[in-house]
Amino acid sequence: MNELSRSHDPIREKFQNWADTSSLSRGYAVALLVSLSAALLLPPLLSYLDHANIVTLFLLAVVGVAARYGRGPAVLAAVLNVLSFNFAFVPPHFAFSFETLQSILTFGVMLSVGLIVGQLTARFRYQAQVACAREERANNLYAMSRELSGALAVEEVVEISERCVEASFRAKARLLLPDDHDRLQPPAAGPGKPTVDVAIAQWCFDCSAPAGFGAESGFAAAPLLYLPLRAPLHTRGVIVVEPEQPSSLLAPEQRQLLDTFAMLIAIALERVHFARVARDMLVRMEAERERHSLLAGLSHDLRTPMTALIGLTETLALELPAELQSCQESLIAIREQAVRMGLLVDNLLDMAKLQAIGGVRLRKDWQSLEELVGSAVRMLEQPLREHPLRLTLDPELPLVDCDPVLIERVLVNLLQNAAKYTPPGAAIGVTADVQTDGLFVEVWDEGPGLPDGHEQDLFEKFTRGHTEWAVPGVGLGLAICRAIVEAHGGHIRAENRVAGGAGFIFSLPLATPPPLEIDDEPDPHPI
Amino acid sequence: MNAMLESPLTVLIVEDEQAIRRFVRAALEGEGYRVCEADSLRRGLLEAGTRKPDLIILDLGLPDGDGVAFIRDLRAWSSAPVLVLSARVEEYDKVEALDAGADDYLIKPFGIAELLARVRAVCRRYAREPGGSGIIAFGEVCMDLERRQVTRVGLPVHITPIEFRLLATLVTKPGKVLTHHQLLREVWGPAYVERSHYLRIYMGHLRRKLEADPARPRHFLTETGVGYRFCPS
Repeated sequence: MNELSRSHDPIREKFQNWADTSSLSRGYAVALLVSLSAALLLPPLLSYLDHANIVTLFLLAVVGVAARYGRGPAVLAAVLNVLSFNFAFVPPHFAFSFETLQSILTFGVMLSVGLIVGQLTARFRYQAQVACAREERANNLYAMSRELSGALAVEEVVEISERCVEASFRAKARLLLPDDHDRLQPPAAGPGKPTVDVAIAQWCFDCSAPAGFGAESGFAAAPLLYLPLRAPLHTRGVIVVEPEQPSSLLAPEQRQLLDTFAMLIAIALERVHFARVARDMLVRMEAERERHSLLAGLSHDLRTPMTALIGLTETLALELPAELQSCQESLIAIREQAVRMGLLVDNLLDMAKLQAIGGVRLRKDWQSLEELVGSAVRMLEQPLREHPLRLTLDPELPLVDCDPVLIERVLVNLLQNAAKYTPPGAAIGVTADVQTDGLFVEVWDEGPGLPDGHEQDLFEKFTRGHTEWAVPGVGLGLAICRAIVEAHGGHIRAENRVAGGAGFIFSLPLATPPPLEIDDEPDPHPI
Repeated sequence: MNAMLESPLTVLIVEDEQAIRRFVRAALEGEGYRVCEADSLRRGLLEAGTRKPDLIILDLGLPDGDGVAFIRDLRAWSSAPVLVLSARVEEYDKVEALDAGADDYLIKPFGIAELLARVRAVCRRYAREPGGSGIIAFGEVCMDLERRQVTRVGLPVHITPIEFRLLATLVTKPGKVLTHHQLLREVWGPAYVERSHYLRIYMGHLRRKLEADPARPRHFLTETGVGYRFCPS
């Protein structure tokens, strides 16, 4: 920061201006002094020196003044020297005469030498000044980029940027940052801060183009300059600049410098943003890992006692004499309760797994729906015993890319519901149908149907069709189905069928399965 | 049944939960098996080495180590069948265990009837003499492994070479769960172990040719997410 504060100390600048003016007037004074002293001191030397040598001495004085003080004093020195030379050395002595060709030549040479040398000096001096200004700009940029590179939080970036821009441009500066919905947040009004027009700033942010004072892209009449902070991936915000002297921002170098500042700030903001994203991701992964190991542990810890409970009850039932009928009945009841508890635990753990942050991890593979239905039906042999089963699945159904365990779970839950909520003897069926937007699978029954108007509520957690139903359950089955189907990018809905009974329809997206690349003897009797 | 055998079969239970060991032991002893127990993988390996059990029942969720590593270790020097017990969250551990050489699995919680059925099936498979007549009959199907012929209800069924290889792999290991990897490697070769859609398609063909109701198969059963099992009865 030292370079910045030093170069923009106002006292120093005033001193600089004063120094410039005083050095110029001193130049004129010196020019005057040199000519006078030449006119006074040189005549005694006339007896030793030739006229031509005297002229070179006068010329030397002009060159000296020009080199030291620039064009103005040089011209003055040339004129004065010509006059004093003419006055003191050209006959008639101690009087001006411009009649001779010689004196006109002397005058011309001296004047041109003074002008040329002065011109050169002025140019060198200007270039030195430009180099100084360039160095100062580079220093400012370097100072800011060094500070920004150490910033870890957005607040730090804002503070550093505003301070540096204010110091480098003698302006008030304000950084506006967007929220999560890309709306710029209006700044808190503070002393020494520009009054920002948020609408212009938002336009500047949305279009990613400069706006306001001096900008060609829009709102050129506004008193402040709004620059977008364009980073490689995204516009990160807007910087608003209110210069003390508006014209100072019109200089191309100044605008270029400001643009460079804006770019540096944008990159710093983007870096801080991605650092935060990476940090959040790490935290989330850690939480997810912990959650998974907790679920695995919980599942193991709950299932182990349940296994023991069921197994020991059965052992006891085998060991007790069959005549103790009421004891046997109690044991059967205990076993049933334990099994139910096991299912409940399964459901709760599944729901927890499905609601994992960032979605459940699917183990997708190409599956045959017919196979999944077949294994679901086999798992439910007992509950489906009392129902005629109609499976109408086209053998030509395409393979589906899905997690087999989860989709089987959907089918099991739907079939189990159908068995649970329909009277014995009511038919239950599964149909599947390829449509343009996926494979549609329906599990239907010829039971009493669903309560009208509440078909979709069934998919909410802990919701059951009729609360007074005597069928045990807590209402997680359909919520699990929905979570699974939606994780696959499909939809699930329930409806009452025209023919009576309920239908649960879910869809799964279809894709083209990889081809078979193996030579097998063609089947002469394709089925 | 086994109670009547001259020398009863020995079963080793590797399970850390005492209550589970207790009822499994009671159930097996009721059937005439001789039972020994281990409460950790380390002790389990030791017992397996000294007792030379005819069957090992292994809980995959033991606190002192990885059950899959246990099976690999065991398979280096023993071909005793392994029945794995698994909680459902570890469903992919159980595939790994089967790939490592386990024979079958049971999901917790399980009942005694289920346990005994699995134990009997595994023991029966190992007791069977290898070789035999080369003729296998199940349901309406009769299969001649040597002459590569298959008939259903006495009528010849056309079976392609790959279908035959798949069929032969399944029927020679009745009751055993064969994982997708195992089947793909055996039938198509090691380069094909990731192409499980081959299996789906060819299993569909086999079921349509050999099952009475392909949608509700009785012989070629799906173990979802794991593999397939051939069930002769």
